Amino acid sequence: MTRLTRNNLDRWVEALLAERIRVVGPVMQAGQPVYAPISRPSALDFSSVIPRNSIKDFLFPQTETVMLYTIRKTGVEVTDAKPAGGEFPDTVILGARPCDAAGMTSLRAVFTWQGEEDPLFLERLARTTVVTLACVRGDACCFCTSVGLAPDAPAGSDLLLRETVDGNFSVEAVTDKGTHLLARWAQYFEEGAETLRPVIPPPVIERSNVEKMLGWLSDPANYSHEVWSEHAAQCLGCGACTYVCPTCHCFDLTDEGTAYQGDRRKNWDACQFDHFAAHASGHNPRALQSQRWRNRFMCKFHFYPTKFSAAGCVGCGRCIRVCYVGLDIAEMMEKVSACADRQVPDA
Amino acid sequence: MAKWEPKIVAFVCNWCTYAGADLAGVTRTQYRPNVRIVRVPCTGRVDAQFIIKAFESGADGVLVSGCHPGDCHYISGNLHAKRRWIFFKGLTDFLGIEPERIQYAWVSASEANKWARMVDAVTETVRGLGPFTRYHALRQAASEQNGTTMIWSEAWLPGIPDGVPLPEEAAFVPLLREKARELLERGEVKVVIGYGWARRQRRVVPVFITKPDDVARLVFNPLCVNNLAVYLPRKQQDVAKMGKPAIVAKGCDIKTIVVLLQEEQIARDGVVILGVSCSGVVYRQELWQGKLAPDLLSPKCAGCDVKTPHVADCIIGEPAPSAPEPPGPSEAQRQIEALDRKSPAERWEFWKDHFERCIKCYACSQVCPLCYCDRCITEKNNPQWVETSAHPQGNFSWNVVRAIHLAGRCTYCGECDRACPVNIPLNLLNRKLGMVSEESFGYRSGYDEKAHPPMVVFHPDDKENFIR
Amino acid sequence: MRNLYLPHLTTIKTAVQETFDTWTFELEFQDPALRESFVFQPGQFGLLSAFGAGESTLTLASGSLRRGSVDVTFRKIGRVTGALASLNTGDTIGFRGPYGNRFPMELFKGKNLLFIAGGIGLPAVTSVLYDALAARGEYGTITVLYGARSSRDLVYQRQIAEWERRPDVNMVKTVDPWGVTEGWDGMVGLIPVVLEKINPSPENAVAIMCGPPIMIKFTLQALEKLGFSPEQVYLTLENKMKCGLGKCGRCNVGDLYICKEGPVYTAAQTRRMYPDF
Repeated sequence: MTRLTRNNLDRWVEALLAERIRVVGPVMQAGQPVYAPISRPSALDFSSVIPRNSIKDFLFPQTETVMLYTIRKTGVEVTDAKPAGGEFPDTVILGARPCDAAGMTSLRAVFTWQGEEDPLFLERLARTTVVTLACVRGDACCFCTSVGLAPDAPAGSDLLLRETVDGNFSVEAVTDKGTHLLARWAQYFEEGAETLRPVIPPPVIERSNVEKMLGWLSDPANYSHEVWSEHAAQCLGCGACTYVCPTCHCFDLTDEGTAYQGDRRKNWDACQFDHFAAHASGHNPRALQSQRWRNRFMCKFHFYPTKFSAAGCVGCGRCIRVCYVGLDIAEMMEKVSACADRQVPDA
Repeated sequence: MAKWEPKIVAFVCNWCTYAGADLAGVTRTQYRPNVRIVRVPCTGRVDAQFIIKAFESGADGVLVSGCHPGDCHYISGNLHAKRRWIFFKGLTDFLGIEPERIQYAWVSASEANKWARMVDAVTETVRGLGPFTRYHALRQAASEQNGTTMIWSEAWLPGIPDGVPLPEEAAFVPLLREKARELLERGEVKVVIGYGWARRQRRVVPVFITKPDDVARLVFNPLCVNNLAVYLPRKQQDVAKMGKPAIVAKGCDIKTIVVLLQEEQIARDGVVILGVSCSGVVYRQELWQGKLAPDLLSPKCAGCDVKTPHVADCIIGEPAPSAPEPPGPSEAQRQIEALDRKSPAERWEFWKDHFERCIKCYACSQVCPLCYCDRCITEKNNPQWVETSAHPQGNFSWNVVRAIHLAGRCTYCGECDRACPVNIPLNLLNRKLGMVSEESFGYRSGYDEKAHPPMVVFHPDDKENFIR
Repeated sequence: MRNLYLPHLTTIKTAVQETFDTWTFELEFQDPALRESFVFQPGQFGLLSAFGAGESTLTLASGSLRRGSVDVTFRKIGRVTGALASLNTGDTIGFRGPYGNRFPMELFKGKNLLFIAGGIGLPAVTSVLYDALAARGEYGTITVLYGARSSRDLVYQRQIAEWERRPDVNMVKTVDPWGVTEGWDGMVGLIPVVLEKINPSPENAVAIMCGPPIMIKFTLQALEKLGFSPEQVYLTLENKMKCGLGKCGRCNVGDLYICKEGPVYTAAQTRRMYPDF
């Protein structure tokens, strides 16, 4: 088995940084675990269950320029926007959680759907290597095991690290990119047998069943079920759940600038916001918060699997943690599964 | 390379100052050419966003000028403007914009000389201050920015940790449940908005009780920090559809309800207020360790004078004893005073660092009961007043407009501050403008539903010392 | 990798003001290669940029056989269309597209075509009409039923006059009962009412329709009364769009992304959609 000692990990990180590779990993900021770029290996802190933000921030940033325009008397010039320096930074995300890595697979499915390839996401992804650190435990909000994932699921990872009882890591190459990374930095990795730390996977949510839910959600007749308005009355449409979710991808394209020049921006947006889908005529197809909340749930557990053949929810539980009014998507999964059960005709 | 010349944008009213400037031209009065005039019908038309937009467009200084009080072509437009300027000046000073960069004045149609001398004076003052690089730098940062790193607020756990004892319910909870049951059974209300335990996590959340048998879900304890008044405005259509509500409200929440009544978002007989006595709530439920310690208290509890609700259909519970509080000015007040003692440059750095982290999630707006506009100014795109991108310039613009739209209205429930995922001290901004409201107009929000909010009215004697 | 969000540049070759709030622009691609090679299918749309204001979704209204330029017709209603309306011949507009699915012209061959449009809905179906007229012999009867609030709100008045003159097109124009102006020589009545009056046969026919939601609702009922099955009726839907590429998550009606899996649907398909509009 290939292994990486903690010491070698620190030295490897130093070597990566010396090559001007951006290294992103879990750090503590203001007492909270977040993924952030680091400038030295001692900043890395793998002790938290899960950082507060998702790694999508580094592949699909909050706000970015998609093009620049200049309006002259002779006409308009548009230029492709490239980051300063010309290319997206080479990045190693070190210590991503499996749910986050799986989320990137889902985002890739969206950003390549029907042959339309979004270069802003894909070029960043091409230059990013995801080194996942498998979990040994979850907390009360984790539910990856209820959506077909696991504390050591390899989806979306290039390398998968697992913690060993002596404070080091076992290393598994999942993709070719991972194999190349191992080969390039071979001096930090070694062979050796190790005992892995025992893993306590999060309990599966009782009474929730993703397949059953998909069946129920696929019936347009259930779209008007009262479970939606019952559950969503608390929602204030703040969008926090959207912003922390690894698979949420909604965005806005907007021009900013003067009459002579400016840029077109791609900014995070949320289907939870009031006027997300509102027409210029004033008509708003999802005018009620419960309709918007329903759209979020449907997107995660119906649209994503049926349209993009990917997981819409990876069970990271961030939305449960940040929700200001205590809405709980796992609770909704139970409720919808119960609705699905009630609708199954007796055998 | 051309020498830098200050760019001054002047918003002037058509009837007085514009005419005065015109007279200056007709009489061949010489004055600095640095001013660009934007004519408005009345200074009452000048919104804070105009001034922000001027800076965003590259202005180094802004001049706002109109008719003298008493001479307004529209009778009182400039008196409303004066009120607004008092608030806006309080805000811009607090944010660290040098006071000399925004000048307010009264110039009449005959005061050509005053106009000319004032433009000269403002130009030279701004020349002395130099170009407003630090504002323009916000835009520069915008084009280079490609993502933000977030600092998240305290406490990441979803609820009270396992093993920590849950708080005791207030003694009056059975009475509360009885009252709720009574109201529902009699059909006097269709829904009771209150607090209850979440089903999966150990935390208190808003609940909507529509059936009498469900009243057992209602609780009240020191974790009941949410301001439930957020569910009352017309915008909350899902709640409105449930029918006439009763609301479990602490004194601080009732202050918000008072403002909603003043602003006619709800009718007094459209809601049944179940006032509850409260001796303090925690700021973050997840930090609960067993008892209500002073360092856990929400900032809104400091100096609370509504522990027994002041407006209610019924008051449930005995007047509560005071929660343990540290003596002296509140933490918020101390921080504001400390900031006021700093230089504008230091204040600017303080706010710039905070606003840079803003991710434009608008949680602050969505959780605020008083942000109830069906279409927020950020959603208005014709023109796009507030840039929606989460870059420093757009963040600054948003936070300024949010603060000024709450001026004189906010009751400091602290929900915006609590909801902000990146820990921007929004409550300081709100409280600062509350202090301006109190000092300048003797007005405190949330006590008298018959009073008019300060931005809606004016008094001829409104005092200021900064309008030329 | 090509930047999907980068628009092509087009020049406004001609600009015609149709009504007080609608314009038609004929757009010519600035890149000569694209001018020659650009093709689209009837029913597809583009995202037009008014630089500085943003992008707006507009159906390509000219026939798909024309080379070198495309037409778009829009109503000035918001920020972007307002900015577009202030542009003139010679100005530059950005173009992304063609996006969306198409009207299945091959299924229409040999059939009687019934076009029904209201207000600004007419440009959404004219690409089919022009293609059919260009190969007139391949189609049965062609009826165009078009109405607006008043005669001042009718778009394509010049083309309507031409179609009226053609013996192989049955052009029926109508205005709402309260929109009759002096000199009006067309029919009077709401579209569903006029439809029943002209009583088209569903035999070997397809209906191609676009208009305001209320018109669609009642016209579908009228078509059903006349014996049209929902599979015979084609609609082109609209929703707020930003990317046009199925990525921004905005235009969905339930599980269908209108930009990619629409905007053309049969009435049978719309009946099966989630009620998310």
